[in-house]
Amino acid sequence: MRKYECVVVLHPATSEADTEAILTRFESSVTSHGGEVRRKDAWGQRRLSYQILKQTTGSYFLYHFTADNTLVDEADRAFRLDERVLRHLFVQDEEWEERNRPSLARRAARLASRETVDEDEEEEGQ
Amino acid sequence: MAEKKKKSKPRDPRKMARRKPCWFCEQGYLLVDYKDDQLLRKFMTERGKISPRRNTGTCAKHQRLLAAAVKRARHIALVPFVREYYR
Repeated sequence: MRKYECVVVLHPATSEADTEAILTRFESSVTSHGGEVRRKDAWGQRRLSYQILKQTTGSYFLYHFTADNTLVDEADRAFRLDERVLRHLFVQDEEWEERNRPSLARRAARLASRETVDEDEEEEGQ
Repeated sequence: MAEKKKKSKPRDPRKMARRKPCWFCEQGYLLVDYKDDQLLRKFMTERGKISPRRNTGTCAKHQRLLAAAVKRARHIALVPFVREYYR
């Protein structure tokens, strides 16, 4: 069981019902493989940086989930066959926020301590 | 040509360019997020190429992470492969 991250870009002409169907099918395949959807974000319609199938916009969805590799293969195949899915990307979840937070905090602490040192020196100079 | 001559002379430490510190190291980034297209664009040329390290001052480690992130972002069309100018 691994943590994954997935971005799905759907065709802008996809109806709401179809969108729902595609996403719930993916979600149910995750749970049926014993995985769990940990997070789901809809970014909404975004401009594409280049045209895909003559489209200039697409609706983006972000998933964080746990699963085994067989699920990823299966979902990857399903997305590839579906013409309403313009792009999809599976990535092993690097837990970007969680892993960067401590270093960001450390950085802030270091800056704070440096500033106080500088102030002390100034006082001594005077 | 003129540069070559200069190089052989001992450099004046005051005139040597100081290396720009790596932005990611400064900010304390361990990873580079491929979903943050605004950030990635800062490290890309107007044409959509990944800016070289010599221009941005990024360290080798973060440049590798950055390059990988840009390539992922390109695939999902968050960031362009090429941005062509209008002629």
